[in-house]
Amino acid sequence: MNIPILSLILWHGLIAAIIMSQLARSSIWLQKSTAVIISMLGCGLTGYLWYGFIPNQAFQFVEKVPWIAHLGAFYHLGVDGISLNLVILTMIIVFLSILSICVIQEKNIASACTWVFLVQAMSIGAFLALDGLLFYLFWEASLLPMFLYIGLCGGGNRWFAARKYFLFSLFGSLFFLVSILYLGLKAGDFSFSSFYQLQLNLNEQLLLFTAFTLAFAIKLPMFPLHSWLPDAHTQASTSGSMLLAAILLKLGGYGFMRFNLPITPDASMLLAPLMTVLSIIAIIYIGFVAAVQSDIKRLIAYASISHMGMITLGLFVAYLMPGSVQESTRIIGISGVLVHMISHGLSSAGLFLCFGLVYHRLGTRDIKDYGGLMRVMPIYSGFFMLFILSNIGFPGTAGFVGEFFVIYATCAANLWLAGLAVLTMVLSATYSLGLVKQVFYGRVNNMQLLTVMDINWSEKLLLGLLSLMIIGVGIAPDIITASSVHAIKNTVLFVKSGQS
Amino acid sequence: MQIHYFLAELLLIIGLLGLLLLKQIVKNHESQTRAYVIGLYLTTIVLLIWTQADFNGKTIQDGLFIVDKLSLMVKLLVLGFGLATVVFFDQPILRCGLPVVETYFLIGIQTVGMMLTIACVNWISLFVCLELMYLPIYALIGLHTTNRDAQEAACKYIIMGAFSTGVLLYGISLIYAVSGTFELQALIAPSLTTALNKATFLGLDPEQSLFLIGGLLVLIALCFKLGVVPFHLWVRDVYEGGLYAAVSLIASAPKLVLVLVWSRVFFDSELSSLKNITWIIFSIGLVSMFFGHFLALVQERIRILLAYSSLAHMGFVLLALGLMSQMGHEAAMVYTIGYTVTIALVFLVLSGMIVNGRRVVLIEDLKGLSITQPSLAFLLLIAIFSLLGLPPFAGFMLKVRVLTALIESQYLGIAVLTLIPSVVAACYYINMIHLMYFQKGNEVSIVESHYSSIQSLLLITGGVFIIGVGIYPSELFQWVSGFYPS
Repeated sequence: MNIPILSLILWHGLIAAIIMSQLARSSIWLQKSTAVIISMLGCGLTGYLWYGFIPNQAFQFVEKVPWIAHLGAFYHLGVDGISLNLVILTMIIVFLSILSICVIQEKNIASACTWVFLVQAMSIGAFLALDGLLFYLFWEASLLPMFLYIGLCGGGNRWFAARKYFLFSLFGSLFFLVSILYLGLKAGDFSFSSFYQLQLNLNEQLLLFTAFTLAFAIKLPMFPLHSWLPDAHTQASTSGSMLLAAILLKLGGYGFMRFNLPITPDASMLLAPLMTVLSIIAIIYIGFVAAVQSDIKRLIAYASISHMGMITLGLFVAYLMPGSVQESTRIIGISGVLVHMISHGLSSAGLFLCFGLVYHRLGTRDIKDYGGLMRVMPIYSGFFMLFILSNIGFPGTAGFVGEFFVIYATCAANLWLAGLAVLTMVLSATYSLGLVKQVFYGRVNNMQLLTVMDINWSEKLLLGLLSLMIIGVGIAPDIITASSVHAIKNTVLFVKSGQS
Repeated sequence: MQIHYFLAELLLIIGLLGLLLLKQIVKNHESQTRAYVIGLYLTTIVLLIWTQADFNGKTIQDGLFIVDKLSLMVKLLVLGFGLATVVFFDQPILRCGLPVVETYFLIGIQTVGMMLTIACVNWISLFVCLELMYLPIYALIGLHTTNRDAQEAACKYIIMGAFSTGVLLYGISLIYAVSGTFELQALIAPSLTTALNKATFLGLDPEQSLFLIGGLLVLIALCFKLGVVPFHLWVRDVYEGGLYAAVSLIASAPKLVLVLVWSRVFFDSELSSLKNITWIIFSIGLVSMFFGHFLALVQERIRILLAYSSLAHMGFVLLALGLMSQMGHEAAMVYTIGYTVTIALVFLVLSGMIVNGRRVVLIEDLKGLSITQPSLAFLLLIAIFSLLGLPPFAGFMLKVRVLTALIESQYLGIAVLTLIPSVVAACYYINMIHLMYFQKGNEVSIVESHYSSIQSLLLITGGVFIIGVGIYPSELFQWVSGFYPS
């Protein structure tokens, strides 16, 4: 097994981006087919990775080459259960967004695909990096293609949204940079494993925790730092929203798992109540905010923020569990977080994609302009309902598993908290079903609706693929949990070291 | 001192003198003269590389000059900048009717001045060479006799430059008065060590206070030439008034030379044992960063914007220099190399653009550049991201280098403080990207560009440098490290 498979997966996106940028002037057919084939190739590579992955081991396929000798930074890649699943999610979502670009757009396909592939390369780099500086490089670099993508292919107010996204993210990540440099100088090199072995006092931990949290909470986004996301989503194109919701937000959750929990265990323990409260606020308050939106994309964006509350809740509620709680419950809690990241990736991408298809036909985001869509586009409505159900957390869909696991773990920590967290299901049912009622049922208000056709075979294929995955994960979440059990156990150990 | 280590400089001087003779033969034939000067530069570069290969990393020093690995490397870089200036001066000469031979002669003699300044280890030679390096710059700006802005800039620059030279000379004379020698090492005079450690301004005996004041005056003069707050007043006018090609030279190569001179003068010097000096330099640096970035935020003219952002970048360099340690000097050198290449690239890209029949003046002139001139827009894009310090571009790695030096020297607070202005910087840098990239349809300004193939080659080299250093900076770090004795 001498193929540097991780490098191949990482560089795949960059090479693809370069190829696509050269195709801008060639025929549309060539652009589309090249993009799809390249993206399928990437999925194939990831499949090979998945096939060769051994569930019960720590980091595998490790590649380590000196990079910046002066600072002690290495080109150090490796994959464990958590990153494996996120890499697979990234590849699948990128494939679907490429397909959606091919289905929806008539022009500028090559340039859109270029940005998509760049986002893919940067986020996969961040998921695979085992070196702090390398992680930061990809983490920060993922900002640029998304910024340019929103700015280039977005809606009328795209400059405002792109600028807000850029400045928020930049502000968060600068302090993160200083913390990484501080850790690197203290540890002598930048690899995660040496970061984990550092003995830091509580003050250092608190400062580092704040810096990390600032970066990840903006990316995720967490409650008081979330306001960039609705703007970015409303202005981004369909594939841009898919990437943003499904992949880039997950970078935040992944960062919490890789940095906050292991490096600053004592500070995490100390601040866990605060983080839990913020998560609960996100779940409930943002749920209410979502319920009053009149813009469909904004509504889905707020729903995302509310769901991201479950991720931070699942991570930090682990610290609030009494010592008597069984190991298996803790494992369920953390794997719930991972499953929720994947399932939210799939269902939010599905929602944005679905909405993109109808937006492409009608060109309006206002809920009031819709109504009675079920009569005109019955098949489309069926798919939309499925994604909505997954978003609510309906049993049998992917959304159910993650939320159930997290709430189960929350029960072990505190029943009251669990009672509040359960509200997420009620609230998301409120706004999601309200959306469904207004868009799909009732009278047709907008005569323009009567002129649109139902989805064609390529769109059916696209939505069908996504639905299969959502139901698959919903029925057999083992696909995710089995491969990640070792990594999850490690995370639980980090949490325990903070509690003791 | 074996003369053959200075063959490159000699060749350049003789070649330039030959150029003056040549004027009698070819008259004002622009392209032939330019070809001759480019050939001269290339021969000099080859000769310098040859000398370097012969040199094997020894350090050879006598009374006036030194030859070491660092000086040879920086000489190569400034030759590169000089060559780029020569290559890009063809348009201004044609358009503004500048005297051909004189212009190229001035650029060449300025390069000679820089190459000699790099090698100085003596106050006298340093002073003379600094003048040799600066006088042609004043003239280069003033050459554009039909432009009032240029005249004003040249006038201001020469007056302020002369003033700073006076300050420098006075500082040198004070140091000489105390130490009795013109060697740069005077600042490292061991006899003063013990006394200076407990020095305060008032409690010093006269000799020490003279020495200290002398050192401070030299520091001020160098800050003046670097253009940092509060010695920055010339920067704006010069950037605004000069021709683009001339400004690209002023903004890049001299700064590189000055950082090297700073290292020669202050590295391991007596002054570094005074904690207060570090804080003086830090405050200059921080104030420059805040002042520069905040003022650049509200500019509408692109050159003034770049002038203020240069204040901020030089402030950042000063933070590294203020550490007074080997690490700090290395970081400053590396950062300056990256910054000068990037900013020269920006000015050179702008130099060839023509918007509605005139040069680029306002930031608005860049509107829709990605549609009219995609490759130029892309070069500016990576240069701007690099100036902003984002990965995977050179600026990020160099910023990391400086921050690392600061954090390792226990100045974590300073490192965090530098981040705030860089978020401010993001606002105006991405505004430029917004204008270049995010426009649609009819809001585009029509930009034409004229670049010869050799000019395009230089621009591409700059772009490759920015991305290359951003991805794999090890080579550059390796190159610079070890120049300063530890």
